[in-house]
Amino acid sequence: MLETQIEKRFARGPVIRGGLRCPADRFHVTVVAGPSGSGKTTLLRCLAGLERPDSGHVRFADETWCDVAARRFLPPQARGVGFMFQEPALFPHLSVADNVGYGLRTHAVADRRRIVTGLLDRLGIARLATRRPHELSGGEQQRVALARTLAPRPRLLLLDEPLSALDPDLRLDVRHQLREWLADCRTPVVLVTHDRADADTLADDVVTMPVNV
Amino acid sequence: MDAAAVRLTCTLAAATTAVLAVIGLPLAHWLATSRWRGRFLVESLVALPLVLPPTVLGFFILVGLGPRSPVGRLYEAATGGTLPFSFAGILVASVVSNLPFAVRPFTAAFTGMDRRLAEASWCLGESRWRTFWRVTLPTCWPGILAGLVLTFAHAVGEFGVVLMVGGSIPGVTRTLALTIYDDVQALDYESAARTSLWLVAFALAAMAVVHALEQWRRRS
Repeated sequence: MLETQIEKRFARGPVIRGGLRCPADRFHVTVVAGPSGSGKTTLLRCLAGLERPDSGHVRFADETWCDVAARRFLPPQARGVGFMFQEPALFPHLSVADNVGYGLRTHAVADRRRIVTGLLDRLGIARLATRRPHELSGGEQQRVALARTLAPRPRLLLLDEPLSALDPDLRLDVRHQLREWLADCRTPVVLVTHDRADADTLADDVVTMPVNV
Repeated sequence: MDAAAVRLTCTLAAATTAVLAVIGLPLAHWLATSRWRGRFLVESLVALPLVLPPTVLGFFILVGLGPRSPVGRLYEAATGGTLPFSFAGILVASVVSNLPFAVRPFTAAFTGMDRRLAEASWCLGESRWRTFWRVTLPTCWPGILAGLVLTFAHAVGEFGVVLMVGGSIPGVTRTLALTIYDDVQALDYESAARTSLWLVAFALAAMAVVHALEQWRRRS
């Protein structure tokens, strides 16, 4: 199981409280929904280790990633998670292929090339391999970001509004494709969205963040 | 122009720039990423040489490095020499007084970087150290290069602290800026004018590089 319960206070901001439970060993999409400002992104960042909660814990299978009471905190590098930001956040100085292969530094060159080519094919962006991020459209950048996240085979996928960069027509197509792409990885997925239709199409489970006052 | 002074000035400026790259880059990176509340105190200390009279800075460095100070005694035990009125002494003085000219542009470059790029790298398994080399440096290099050029140019023109700590010993501590002062004292206005014009030309070229980099960085 992936199991978490966290609380985070921001200076001059709301108190974020939230948690979720989902299986850790198979494909399962948990959608985190809730109004903006309810702390969806913060919950996701705590799962990745990019943010330290003020209290609470994150447990994945038999590992404790974070336990504030026990002063235990595993840095993001040691968690093996894939995190996709709301904005693609591609490395501007690297080509599409090098972006996707970034997390495969310790792989042999031939392996790295095979994995990168395979992913670019699967996501329909093989023709973009040599381009730089600034030459791509928003939707293309988002696919490259997804490929980069999937390449090192993370144990848990965390996606923050993965479809927000797409215009509405494209969004409908990609929504179905996205679930197929994610299913390939056979890992649990936690996905943040404020879009009702995204949640309905993608989710096995929906967790709603409480509204804070 | 005095060839020995040209050589000395270039060596001093290059050594100052090299030392400040090693000290300044980690310090600036820390200043740009730290969330510590007392950070402004460190930033104030770094900026201090901008507003302090060079004589004040030079006086404290002179006393701090003197043969009776702990640093001076340690240096004498290690090398047998003394710091004041030596090249090593003016190098220390030059590093301290040029600190803001390196650290402030470096900090601005690091602050301007999208923080998510570093976070993306961490989530892809790369340590903070590797992230610095693979992402931070390649995306921030124009700002870093601008800081290095600015530091070199300012170190070339250093006058007050070098005079205080180094005296003006030909071939040892008499840099170009000091030869101008000595020339004027000796009423050799022609020589002073020649050296001054060369320094203006060099400074202008350096500033052009710094601002060309800045413009280029904003466009991309």
